[in-house]
Amino acid sequence: MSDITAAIDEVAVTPLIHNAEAALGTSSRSGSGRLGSFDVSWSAKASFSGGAVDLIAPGTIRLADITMSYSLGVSFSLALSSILPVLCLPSVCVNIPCVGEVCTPPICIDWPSITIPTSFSDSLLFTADFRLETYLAGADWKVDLVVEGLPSLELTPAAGRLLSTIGDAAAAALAPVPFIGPFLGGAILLIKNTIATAGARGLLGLILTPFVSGIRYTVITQPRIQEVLPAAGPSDPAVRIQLDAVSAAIVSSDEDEFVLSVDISPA
Amino acid sequence: METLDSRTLGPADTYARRFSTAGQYRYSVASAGLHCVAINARFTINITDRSTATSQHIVQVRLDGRHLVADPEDLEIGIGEGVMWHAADASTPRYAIHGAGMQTTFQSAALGMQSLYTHAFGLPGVYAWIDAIGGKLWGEISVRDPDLCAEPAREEWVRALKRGALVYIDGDIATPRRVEIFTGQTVFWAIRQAGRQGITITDRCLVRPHPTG
Repeated sequence: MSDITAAIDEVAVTPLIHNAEAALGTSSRSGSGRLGSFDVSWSAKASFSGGAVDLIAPGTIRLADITMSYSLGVSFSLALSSILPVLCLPSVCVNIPCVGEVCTPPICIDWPSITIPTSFSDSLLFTADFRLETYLAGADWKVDLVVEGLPSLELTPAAGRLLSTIGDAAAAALAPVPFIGPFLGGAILLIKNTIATAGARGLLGLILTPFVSGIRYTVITQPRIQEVLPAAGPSDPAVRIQLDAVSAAIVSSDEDEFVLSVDISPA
Repeated sequence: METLDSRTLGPADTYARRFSTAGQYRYSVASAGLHCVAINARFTINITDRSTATSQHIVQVRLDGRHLVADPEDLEIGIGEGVMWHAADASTPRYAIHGAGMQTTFQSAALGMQSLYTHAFGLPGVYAWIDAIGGKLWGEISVRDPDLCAEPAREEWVRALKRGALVYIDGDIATPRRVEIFTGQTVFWAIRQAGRQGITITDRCLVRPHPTG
């Protein structure tokens, strides 16, 4: 039997978790990889909020419909020569009176390599199960919620929007390339078809999964040594206790409760 | 980037000149922006009274190490024949031709009589061009992208690429003043008359307005 037992229900746990989400703030990650014929580099920011709490004995907290808000900066680089046909302007001749025929030499176009910078912001909902983890960190006892497994992210709707954004960004990046005009529509279509919704979904998964795979919320932090009575004078010092052991669990009785058990001793 | 400016020749440009007097002409190929720097005129054109098999000779300008060179370096042509300079490829820096001989000078940065400037337009838009040296010369080139969705349009465009648009320059008058072409087509400016200072064909956007307005 513990010295102290505290129990709160789902309603009372909810603000603890939402405060922990807010305290976690915005996380950033960056990386690079390859997507078909593109070199891709990205930077991403994500934060979490909300979620309906469901306490499941003996040790699981399920958060349903957590909102993940994210913004991405993704750069796609490719050599245009890999998607555009060879274009050589032919020799052009004009006849100038008193001079005769004058011809330019053929000019072959060197398609440049381009970078398509894309900015994309969106949010999605997901559900995840968390286990309770209690540990002593320096002078504090902490209770964390640690995500279990890899939550499934429904990325298809966002992938469609990302693909559309990439198409717009490609149009802006390609338009200033000399001589591309006649091929512009086809090149944008080819870029979108090369990536396709499946590629965009894979890219989103690659970027966003690391944000959710290691979510850890600290919901409770308590000093190991706590003053329970202040000093009343030189001969009456403060009374302190030490938290010797802390454990957390979900207990199911008439309702599901988050229960914190603490063993104490005089400090 | 698309630049219409005969003062600095790029991969989409050519400069040509017809030589009517026998003798030796020496010239240099300078990087754009070095107009005022004296550069060793190491390349030659010898004009003889023996006509050659062609009335037009091509000189390629290319980068050799850190220097721009003309290829061939020395050329022998007949009286009344022309020489056309063009960049070897897109990696060739923008350049200008400066030459002299037989009491005359010639330079691509100031087009004189019997010279020609061509530019292949790579981007759609309306290009209002003027003479950056200060003449009253002006003109306008409208460039539009073809719609290649339909096969006949593709064939029409490919045929159009082989057709040049010719603009004559007679002093301050360009004829025609306005030209409409497709992307990829080439405009030829043939200088029949020009003042002693010469002229340029320069996108108006590239010319700083005079301080006095």
